[in-house]
Amino acid sequence: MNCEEYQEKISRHLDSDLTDREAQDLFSHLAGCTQCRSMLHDMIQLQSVIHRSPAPEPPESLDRKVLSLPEPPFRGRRKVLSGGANLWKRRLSLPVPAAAAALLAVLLTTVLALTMWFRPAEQMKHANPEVRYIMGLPEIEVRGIPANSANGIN
Amino acid sequence: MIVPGLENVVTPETDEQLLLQLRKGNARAFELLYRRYRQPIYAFCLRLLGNEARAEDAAEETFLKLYHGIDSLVTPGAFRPWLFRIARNEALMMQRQRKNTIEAGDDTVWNDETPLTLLTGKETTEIVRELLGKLKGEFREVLILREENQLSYAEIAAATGLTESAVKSRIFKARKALAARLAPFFRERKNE
Repeated sequence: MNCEEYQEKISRHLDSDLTDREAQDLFSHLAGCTQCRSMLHDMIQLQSVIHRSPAPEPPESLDRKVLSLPEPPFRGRRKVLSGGANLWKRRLSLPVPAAAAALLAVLLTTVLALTMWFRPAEQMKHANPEVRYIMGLPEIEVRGIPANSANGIN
Repeated sequence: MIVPGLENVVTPETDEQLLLQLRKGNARAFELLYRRYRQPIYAFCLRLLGNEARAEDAAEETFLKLYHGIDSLVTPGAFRPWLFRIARNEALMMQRQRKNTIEAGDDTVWNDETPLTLLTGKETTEIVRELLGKLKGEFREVLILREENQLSYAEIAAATGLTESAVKSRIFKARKALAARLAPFFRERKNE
């Protein structure tokens, strides 16, 4: 193993990445190699300086922008939104049985309403001509009797 | 977990616990994660871009992606590399927009040579910061993730898409180049 390879081990040693056997091998080499000992010293110094350097602080404007984000669209979750949230952006989240029951109720109501809507017209066909007149239904002739004579108007 | 630079943010929850809370829609969990990572992410972006305004933009985009894309993180244990990968991608995108790519075309470590005379008379920390800025992006990013953010080799590999052996090799080359450049200053300071 040459010095370049040992120096890569020095770098890994700083990151505690060497096995005991590798570390032992490295230190045996360092005992007899001035160049690699110097590299170890410089790398330790470098690491120490980097760790001492204060990391830059983000500007306050970043806090303002990030912490004022609108409500995220949390997918597939039930979430209580604040009163100011846009209603149109809210997602309905219902369990499957409840959704099925609601759909069935809507269908039944629609069918019932349609039945009620058409039934009076059907019944009016056979209604008394006065009632038909009041309801604005067309007059019909019943078995040869003129329509206007059915209610006694001649 | 103690994250460098965020010791002032005292919260008993681990990243993983906060992630679970965030996935349930807990806005406080997002704020705690933001306060824990705002400084390392901003500093990382700044080291990669070398410009405060662009670093702020990249950091903001990173937290936006955390905010809206938390469900795309499959393994909660991989949060730190995931977040740094987003930050790296944002920084790279900004680099590309400025047609100043971070990828190296050759095996050299430095972007350009800094005359030693320009570094004399400065504090060692300032010199190191300047020299870090002169490293090519591919070497700078791995060294920053390791030294400033204490990511493991495996985490750096996950954040950068490199293999672990490539990460070790780049960290070594970056350290060696910096150490060689700084050796005269270290000797000088020692003799003072």
